[in-house]
Amino acid sequence: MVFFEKNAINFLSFKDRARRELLSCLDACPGTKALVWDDYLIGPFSLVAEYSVLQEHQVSRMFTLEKSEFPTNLDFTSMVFLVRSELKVIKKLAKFIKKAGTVQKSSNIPKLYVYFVPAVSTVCKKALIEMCPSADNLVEDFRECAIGAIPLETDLLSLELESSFRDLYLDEDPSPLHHLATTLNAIQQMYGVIPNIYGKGKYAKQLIDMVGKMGKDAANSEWNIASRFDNLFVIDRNVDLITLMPTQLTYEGLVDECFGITQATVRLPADKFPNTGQSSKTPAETDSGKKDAKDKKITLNSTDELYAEIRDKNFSAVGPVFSAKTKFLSAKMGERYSAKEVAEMKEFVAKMPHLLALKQSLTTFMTIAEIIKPLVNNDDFLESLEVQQSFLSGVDTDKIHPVIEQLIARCEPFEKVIRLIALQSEINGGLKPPVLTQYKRDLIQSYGFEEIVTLNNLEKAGFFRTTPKKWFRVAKETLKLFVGHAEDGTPKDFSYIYSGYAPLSVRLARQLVHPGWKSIQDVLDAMPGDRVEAKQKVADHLRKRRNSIGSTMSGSDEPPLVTLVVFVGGVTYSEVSALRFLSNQEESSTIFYVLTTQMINGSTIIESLRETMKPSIL
Amino acid sequence: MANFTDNWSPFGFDTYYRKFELYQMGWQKFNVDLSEFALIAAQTQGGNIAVVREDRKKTPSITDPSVYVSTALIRPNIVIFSSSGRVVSQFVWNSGPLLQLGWSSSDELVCVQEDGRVLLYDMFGTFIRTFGMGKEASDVRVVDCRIFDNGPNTGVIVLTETRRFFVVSNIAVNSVVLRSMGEIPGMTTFKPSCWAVVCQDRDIQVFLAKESELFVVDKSSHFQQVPVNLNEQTRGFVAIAVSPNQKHMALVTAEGIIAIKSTEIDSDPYCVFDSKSPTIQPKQLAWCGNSAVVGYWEKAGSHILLMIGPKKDWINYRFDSAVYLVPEMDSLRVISRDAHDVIQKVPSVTMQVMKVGSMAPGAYLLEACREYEALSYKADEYLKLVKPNLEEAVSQCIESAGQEFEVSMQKLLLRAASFGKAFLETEGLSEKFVEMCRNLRVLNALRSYLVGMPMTWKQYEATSITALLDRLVNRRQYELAYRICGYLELPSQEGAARILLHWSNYKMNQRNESDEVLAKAIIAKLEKTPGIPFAECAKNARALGRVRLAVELLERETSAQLQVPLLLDFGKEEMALSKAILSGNSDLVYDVILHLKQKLGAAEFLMRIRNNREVFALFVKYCKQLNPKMLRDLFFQEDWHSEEAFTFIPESYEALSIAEQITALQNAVERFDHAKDEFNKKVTEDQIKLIRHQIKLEEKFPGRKFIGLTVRKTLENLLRDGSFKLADEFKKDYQISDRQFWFVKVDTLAATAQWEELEKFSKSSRKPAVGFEHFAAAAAKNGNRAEAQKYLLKVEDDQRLRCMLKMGMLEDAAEWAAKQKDPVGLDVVLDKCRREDSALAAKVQAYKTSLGFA
Repeated sequence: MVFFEKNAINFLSFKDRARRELLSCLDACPGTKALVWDDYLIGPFSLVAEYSVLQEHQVSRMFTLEKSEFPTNLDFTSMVFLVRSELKVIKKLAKFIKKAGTVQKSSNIPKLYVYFVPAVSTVCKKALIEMCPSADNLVEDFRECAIGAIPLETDLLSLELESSFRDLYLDEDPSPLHHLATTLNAIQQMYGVIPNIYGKGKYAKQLIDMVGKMGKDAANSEWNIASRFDNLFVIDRNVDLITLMPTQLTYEGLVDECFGITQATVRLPADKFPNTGQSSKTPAETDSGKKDAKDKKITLNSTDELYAEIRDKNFSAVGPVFSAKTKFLSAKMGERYSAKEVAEMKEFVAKMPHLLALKQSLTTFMTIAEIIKPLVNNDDFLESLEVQQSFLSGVDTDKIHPVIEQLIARCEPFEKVIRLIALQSEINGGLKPPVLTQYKRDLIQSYGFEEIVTLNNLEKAGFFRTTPKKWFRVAKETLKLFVGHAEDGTPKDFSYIYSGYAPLSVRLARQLVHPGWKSIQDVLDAMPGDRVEAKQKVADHLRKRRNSIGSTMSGSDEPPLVTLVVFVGGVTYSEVSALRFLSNQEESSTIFYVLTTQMINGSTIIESLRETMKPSIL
Repeated sequence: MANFTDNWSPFGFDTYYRKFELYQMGWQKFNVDLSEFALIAAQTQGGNIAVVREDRKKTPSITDPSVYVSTALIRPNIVIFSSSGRVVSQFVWNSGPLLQLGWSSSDELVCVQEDGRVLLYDMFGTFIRTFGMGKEASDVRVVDCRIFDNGPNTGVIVLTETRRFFVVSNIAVNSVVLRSMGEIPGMTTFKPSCWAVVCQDRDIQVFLAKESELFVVDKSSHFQQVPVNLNEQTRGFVAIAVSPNQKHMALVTAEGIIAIKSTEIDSDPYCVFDSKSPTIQPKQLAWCGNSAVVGYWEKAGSHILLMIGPKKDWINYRFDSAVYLVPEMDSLRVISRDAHDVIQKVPSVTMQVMKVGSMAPGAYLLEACREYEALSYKADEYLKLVKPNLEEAVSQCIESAGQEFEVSMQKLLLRAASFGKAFLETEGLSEKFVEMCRNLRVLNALRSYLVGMPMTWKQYEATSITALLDRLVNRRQYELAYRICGYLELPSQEGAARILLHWSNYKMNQRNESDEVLAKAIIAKLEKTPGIPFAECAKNARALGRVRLAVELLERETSAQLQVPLLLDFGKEEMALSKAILSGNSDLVYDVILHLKQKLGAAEFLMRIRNNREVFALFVKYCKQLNPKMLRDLFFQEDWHSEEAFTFIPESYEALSIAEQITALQNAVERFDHAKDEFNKKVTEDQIKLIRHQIKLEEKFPGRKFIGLTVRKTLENLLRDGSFKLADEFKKDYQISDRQFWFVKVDTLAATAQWEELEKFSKSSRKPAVGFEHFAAAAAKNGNRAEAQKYLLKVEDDQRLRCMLKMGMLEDAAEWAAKQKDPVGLDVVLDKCRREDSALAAKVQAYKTSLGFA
């Protein structure tokens, strides 16, 4: 009997959920509406509902808290604010509503509704009223728009919490854990109780405890859904900061490193793209009128077959794919000349849309590759890559690195330099105090005194250490983290992702599924943070049928092991690629899904820990 | 063969009414005589009966003090019986003069006083709440009132002595709105001889008779005369009754004429019937369902019910004692001294199955079954007759079972259905059968003498299961309700959990039980059922002043979101805090923090939150956004000098003058010093020094900008200007490392084309801190190849190739690699030149071949 198809679980169902939630929120407000966005939310919500859908639900105008003025022409019945429940956003909201207070008196008054995403927060409500007392009267109702996780891909769910890393590791605010637990609860409601739970790291333990507590309640509410996931693996980002530091070298990873991917879209200078005349309007494009005409927005997801094929490949390996596709395309296009019979022509015409789409995406993704190429083929890039590789292979990690010194002297991008230092620190198991002091002094002299705060933050979040924790060397051996030069073409190991370095987090996930953690217990325990292995009770009839739990070696009639990997604090595109690589391997009967608080890379994380201070005298 | 139709009476063409007994009244032993009661109020849908004995006080009439009139009841005893005549409760009325009793749709006893005050009691005589019918009513006395069903709600309407109507259309909590009805001109001078309320689609109308004229008024103060065409003169109307569906009304004239008409205003009576009892007025007029009206006359000690149909069909029923009529949506209940009867139109399915000579399939099936049970061969013949329509027959038998009150009849019909079912494989019939059995089991339980809720099938169908459970809960029939929930497999939230919540509330009300005993008893019961809203339970306990119990219950609540705010309410801050932290929901933790902040003094508050790391961290985050001042106090209190120091750094950037800025930085230095944080102290001191230094530099070099620049940038500017001496001093002052200094100096000199200085610098030290490759690269980068070449010669051998490549000197690099016999180097060169320069590539290939590496 077949219980499972590969890919039976599709996280895109969370999109419908989110969309329903959003629309029901809108419908709960009377009449025509003006939407006022917390700027950050525009991105995630554009994945949930297009502007046309919002219009169908009587949204007539849109504003943003940061970029819009309070409108003078109030030609709508309700004003709906969608804001994250975070104090810094509430500050902006207070400012905006204050303006409403001055305008409203004179004209017919729209009703104000404040929706907190993803949950009502009393502290935010109180803070708002404290900052803007008139809000108490002006705001008709405070409600919640319970949109938690947003699917970025069929196998990737993200809470899109912009500051989850900072919250957890700097401010020690566990809210992201709570949101994750809620989402895991929703996942279990949809896909059944997950029987085996593993975790590594302090926050992993905390999250698992929360899920367990909710699970107790869940048992009460009598879920009756067969388990679709076998394992839950929670990894605390703090356990594997190393992987954030080297430059990601997959196609997608590099796009992210160079231009930054937000909610599966990237903005690139439009003039680099051949004008194809067709405007592929993505939902977000119509969303707000403030787009630069200079930027082209490109949606990056696996609905595009070509992108699905190249996204997870090492950048150096996408060239052959492009050339194969080009050849294929020109051969196919050539068929139109050879087609003589009407039937043949008809067949060709039928294939046309597919071919044209392929042509379109080939153009797009080759153009992106062209834009990236000069950025990665220059000496500076190669030089820092070399430093990364030498650190990863364990060379020269205990003294000041001349290249880093030089980068500092040249004021190269701060994040780039910090990533190298942090990599060195992590791999060396902490830096010697004089080495760290020298780096810090150099950094402050080059980047300015204000970075004293950033450096303090980075130290608190564990990016630099002086207290030695020498577990990496052992881990590197046991887990084969550095394979050295990886093979091109069809790699057998996901270390190709970083041209030789296999992400620690993914190695742990792989090891977990097969052959299990037993053989690496010593290494695991040497790593910082708790190790959790727990089981959740699943009713017999809801259990997945298999001969013996944990056996992946048996024949193809066994359903594949399905594992949900939860990254507390964020995940990189490369790690997702590595997990996909494992899921797609022919002989493997294991599938990975990913849930994360946000998509990150080393630079975005460092940026989030940075304090921006500009002297006000100047 | 017993006749099923013994109690059927024909009523026009192919219509029968049946009358059967529900209960022998339990009140027989009290020697109850209904005629002795001043007030009787029986609830519809088989509800309770409240009675008050005649005990009216006679008071002098306002108009003529010599005449005593009987008015409201002063201190009567109110007794509440179940439908089966069991005493539910009794209590002494000790409020104002009582005028009228009635029941609300949520089982409250509605008592209307003469002063227009309405008091609500539960059926156990516990006072619930009260509201008034307005000032006018209380000022002038209410003379009459009606308590009426208004859809799912209950309304009250009073008529004052001033002949004005006031109405509350929904007496539920929070929806009591008083309205006055329209007035009829000249109304103050007459008393309506009879009146009734019609409410349709939330619209309330009062029909009232002024002798022979009928009027209608509504809430919009609209009034109108209603023509009633009786074909003959009348002295006036004496009784009026509206049908349960509010569509028809019946009027009785002083001459004993009964007229039935639609409640639509402009419609003629469709039935005018002479009761032939012109002298006596009916004691009660009530509808039996929506298709017949029943009048109750007492004539010389005999009690007669006369039922009249729209087509002038009629039936007489005689009773030996006084009766009370309770109209129902599909029947009429007749309560008397001895028994509780139902008069009901025989349901059509029952007619089909049980009517004598019926040829309906159900009837045949029933016969077949009876013959089969009697072991008669005739069973087969009947079965053959019904075979083609067996499905319909089974359905009919199942449905008609539902219509029976007699269990033996239900069983008989179900047996017939089951018998027929055996010959069928139709889907759904079995479900229907099982469904009916379940429902009947519930119905029979409700109808039992002890519970006393004689609901008909139609009434049962019209009631939602939750409403039904509510009615049981109101009767404190917790166990039955709980069992029904289990039996019908209702989800816990809607069923068992809700019942248990009510039960626990009832338990808590038992004053003599201690909190401990109660907690044990309640929790033991509740814990077994999932989905119990413990928070709500705790709230109830708290409302009853049982704080300990409330806390115990709250402990069991699984949702922290519900738990934490209540714990705060109960003053259990510590527990609230720990539960909030455990939940991981920061917002809840903030709830507690802000609550504490408000409750405690600043000092105590700060002391309180220091004990917990998570709480402290969250509060720090909060302060960072909203209250930086408090944050500093907090760090100060905790002796977290380093943290405190860092709070001064943003301040230094926000400062509006350099003096302020330096003060802030000095504060930071002081704190770093306390913290023994040498590095940050030094760096901050350096910053102060830098600012002062930069001021001097700006004085020295007018027009040049130094303030606000980084150390490196300042150094670079000095080097650009050629102030090398100052630069050297600057390096020393700020402990710029040699390598940093060299990098900056080389880059700056090259960028500003100070080639001589660069050369001088390259020779200034025997051991340069940076390699010559940097000199070469810097020169090349700034476009001076000749200079670059010069330094290239000095570059160490192992760096030479790399340096050449960096400078783009591919050809030289190729030669150098060839000379060094370095195949890897050659490959690198090859890799670089593959596209741009095919000639060179060929050359490199040639080198490789010649070296034997190809």
